[in-house]
Amino acid sequence: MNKMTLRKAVLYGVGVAFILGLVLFVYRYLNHAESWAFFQTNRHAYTNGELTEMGTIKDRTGDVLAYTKDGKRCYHEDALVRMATVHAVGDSKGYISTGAQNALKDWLTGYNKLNGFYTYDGSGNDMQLTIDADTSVAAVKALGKFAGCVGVCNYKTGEMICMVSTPTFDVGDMDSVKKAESGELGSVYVNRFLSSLYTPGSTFKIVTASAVIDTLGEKAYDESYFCRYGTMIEDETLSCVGRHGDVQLKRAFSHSCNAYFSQTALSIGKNNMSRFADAFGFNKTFYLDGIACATSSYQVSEARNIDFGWSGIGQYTDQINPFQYLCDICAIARDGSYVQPYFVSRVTDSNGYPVHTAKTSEKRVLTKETAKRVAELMDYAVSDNYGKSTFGTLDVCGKTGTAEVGEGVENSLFVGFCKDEDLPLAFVVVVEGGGSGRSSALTVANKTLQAAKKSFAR
Amino acid sequence: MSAYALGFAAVIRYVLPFLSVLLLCACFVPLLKKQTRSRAFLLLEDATQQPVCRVDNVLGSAKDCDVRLPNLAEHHAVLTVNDRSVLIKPLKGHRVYVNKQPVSGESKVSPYDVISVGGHEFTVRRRQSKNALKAKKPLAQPYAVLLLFEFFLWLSFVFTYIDTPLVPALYGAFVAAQCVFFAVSHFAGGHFSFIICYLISLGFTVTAPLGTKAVVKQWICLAIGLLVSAMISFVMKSEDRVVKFKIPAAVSAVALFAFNILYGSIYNGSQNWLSIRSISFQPSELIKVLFIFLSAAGSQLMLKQKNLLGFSLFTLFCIGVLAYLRDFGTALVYFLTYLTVLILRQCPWKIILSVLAGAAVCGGGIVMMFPYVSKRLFSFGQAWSHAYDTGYQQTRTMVAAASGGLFGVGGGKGCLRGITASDTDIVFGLLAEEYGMIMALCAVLCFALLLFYAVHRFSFVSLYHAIPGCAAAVLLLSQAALNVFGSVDMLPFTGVTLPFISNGGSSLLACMALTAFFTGGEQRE
Repeated sequence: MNKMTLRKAVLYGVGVAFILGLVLFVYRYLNHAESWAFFQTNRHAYTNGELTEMGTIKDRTGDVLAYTKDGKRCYHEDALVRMATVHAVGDSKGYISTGAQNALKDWLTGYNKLNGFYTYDGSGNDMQLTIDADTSVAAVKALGKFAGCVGVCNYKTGEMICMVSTPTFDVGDMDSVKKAESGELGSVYVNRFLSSLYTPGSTFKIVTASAVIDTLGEKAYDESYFCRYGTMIEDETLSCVGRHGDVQLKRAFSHSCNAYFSQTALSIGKNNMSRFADAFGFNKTFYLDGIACATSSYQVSEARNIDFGWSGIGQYTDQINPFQYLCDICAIARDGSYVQPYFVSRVTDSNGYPVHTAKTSEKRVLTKETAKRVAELMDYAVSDNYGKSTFGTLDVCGKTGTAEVGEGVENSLFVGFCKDEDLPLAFVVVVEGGGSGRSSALTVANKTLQAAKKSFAR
Repeated sequence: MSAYALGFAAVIRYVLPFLSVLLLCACFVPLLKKQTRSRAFLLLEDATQQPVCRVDNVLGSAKDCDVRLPNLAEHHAVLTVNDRSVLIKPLKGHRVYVNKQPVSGESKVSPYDVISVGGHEFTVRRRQSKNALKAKKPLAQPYAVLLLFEFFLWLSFVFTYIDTPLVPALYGAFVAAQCVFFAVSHFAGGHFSFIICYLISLGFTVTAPLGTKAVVKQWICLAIGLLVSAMISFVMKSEDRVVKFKIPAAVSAVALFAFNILYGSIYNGSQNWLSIRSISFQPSELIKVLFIFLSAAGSQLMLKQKNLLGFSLFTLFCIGVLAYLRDFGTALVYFLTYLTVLILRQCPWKIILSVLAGAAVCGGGIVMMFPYVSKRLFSFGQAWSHAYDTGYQQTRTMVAAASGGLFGVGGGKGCLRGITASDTDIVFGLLAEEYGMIMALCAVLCFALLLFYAVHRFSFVSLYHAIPGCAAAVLLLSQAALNVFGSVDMLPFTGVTLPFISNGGSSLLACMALTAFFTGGEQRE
């Protein structure tokens, strides 16, 4: 019967093969469980293709933005609030991929690989956002018909107060939903604040200024360049909107002199510029509560000198992501490091037991000294050029930008922060086709901040 | 649900998988221990000892003998050492003497009887029976785990199925019956029986939410299955009876198939259902039992006889009919079982390989002939892109499995229950959804464990008794593999049931009957 050894081994092999098959299945399961679980026919999460088995979503003040009633997902009663918060909250069908109801549906349904869809009493989890509905409404109103985005963040705590993107649509209005689905309303499902890339234009001078101050120290303020509607770089002209004459850092920044910043970028060189772009998070992907944002870019290694010059003033191939840039502004407003922003402050199960609480960490962008100096430049830019009175009682520091993106089409940008102790907000505003930064983006920022001030006073 | 029930459910979902894993480990451990202790030994005239390890031992001079002695015929006699007695039986007219008296046929040997075979004289001494007591002891641990598991499952039934109090009562009755069985039979089957009881318990979790009627039906089929199993055990105890029942078994299998072809009704693309009045069953399930029985009937204690032709023809007939009925999954299960029998009955590898090649050609032909088969065959692996037609059930299974996580959403709460065949063909998904991936995997691993047990038995029972067990184990395992891997899109979806767990009368009955083949040979008359 010794002959049997091989034959027995064959049978053992059959059993082992079966177990290996199971191991393969478990491997697949661990890799794909999430996408399997959120297949649109799964009644643990969906009703008629709409994600419904989720708890309530509230804004900063406790205003209910979304909830499920009788197997249907319902939203805030005010159409403007719905339109202003839809990109943060998300839609029922998950078309807004970065909305909480899609990107964070595991938090809302209580799903995880360990427990599946099991929750203590079968209902979903509630979510508390840091978004302020009133501020968001003001931002949407201010943007009006323009496409663009407004992001506002408390730079002391990291709470996202406002995350508005236009064009938008009304999730509570079937007509609007249908129009959105047909594409009639434009790219409404994109949250431009997280998923778009913009040419920064003059707002990039913040990066260049930081690089120069950090590299040259006190000397940076003494360097001067000559501007006469531009400057020459190797027989090619780099144009400027003004005739600034002999210009130094402070005035060059407040009057947004292209000549100065392109020359100064050239003077400190590609390596220093790239090093600072990296510090500002260019070419890196940023995440908001785990939601990946579009990746900004600053690539000059192959650039000719003239192009490198242009890159120093936010042209050439420079691209910022509004969220990434907001983080940088927060760092400047604080002490060179920013508190990782978040928009979900708490997720609780139906018994009120917290299943997720926002945890923040600090990330350093600049040294304390450099951050303070750049903040002073932004302060000076407002007082010297745009006028502090524009913002009423608020002490706003900032930098505008205008980026030519097509024939006669200019994006208007304004980034900055409030110095007020009780309103520590940083903001990024982009108005597509809004003309010069001073005109539209500044107005949108002001209206949003005034609304935030009112809301915070309450 | 009351707060108590919710609180209980929140705890029990961790307890049940934990106990499952524990039970599986406890049942796996004895497989790792080598069967080194012999049951008895021969004390030869020159005071040397010859160990006797198996229940049935062939004495002779050939290589494949269990006890080899020079100057004997190749296969001379069979020495049986079971728990009760020692028996000796001469083979093919070779001579055996007990106390100088020639014996014919099987005869009992007392401890001091002198056996003379081919010039050797010896007595058979049993090893101290203390071992037997010790051997029983390791069963206490897994048995306790099994009872705990069943108790908690019963409790969860009590809390969950408040509207149908008969359901937990019936499950409780099963547990009680099982306890009585173990007490009376002194743990017949040992670890193996524990695994079967565990699988049956999981079967109850599938039928429980379907109401009292379904559970009563399951009970009836269990009882009938057990009865059939006892009958088979009885027949298997004597070689003569096996030979006697060989022809009737084959004839009834053919008759069942004939009925199926004539009166079968088509369900889910294959014509494998037979309805008599209100009772409907799948003949192919019952034929499985006859099939395994016949796999053993050809082999005998004397291993020389390798006549596999009759069995091969019978297999060919079965597979042919199943293919005609379009039940290709079951046909494949039969084929794999047949291969196992070929391997174990020492059929030359050349022939086994040619059988495989022949099957591959035939399989290819079938795929070409039936567009329905090829459609199913070639859609596997792509279920997600056919989520609303050919991949419907597979995708729903995976969705359900993912929804349950590792610990499940709770008994009866599975969303998969709304899908066709959720309690049969894709029951793996249902189990994973309601009781979690850990328990679903434990359930499926049981089938691999059963095979390991069957193969492990080679070291202490004769080939004759181990072959049907292995054949049955491969049958169950291949069915489990087709069911589980088919439903999660790793094999073509064939719609075979998951043994013991799937809801279905004939399936459960057949599985219960098959258990007889695993335990045969330990207590012979």
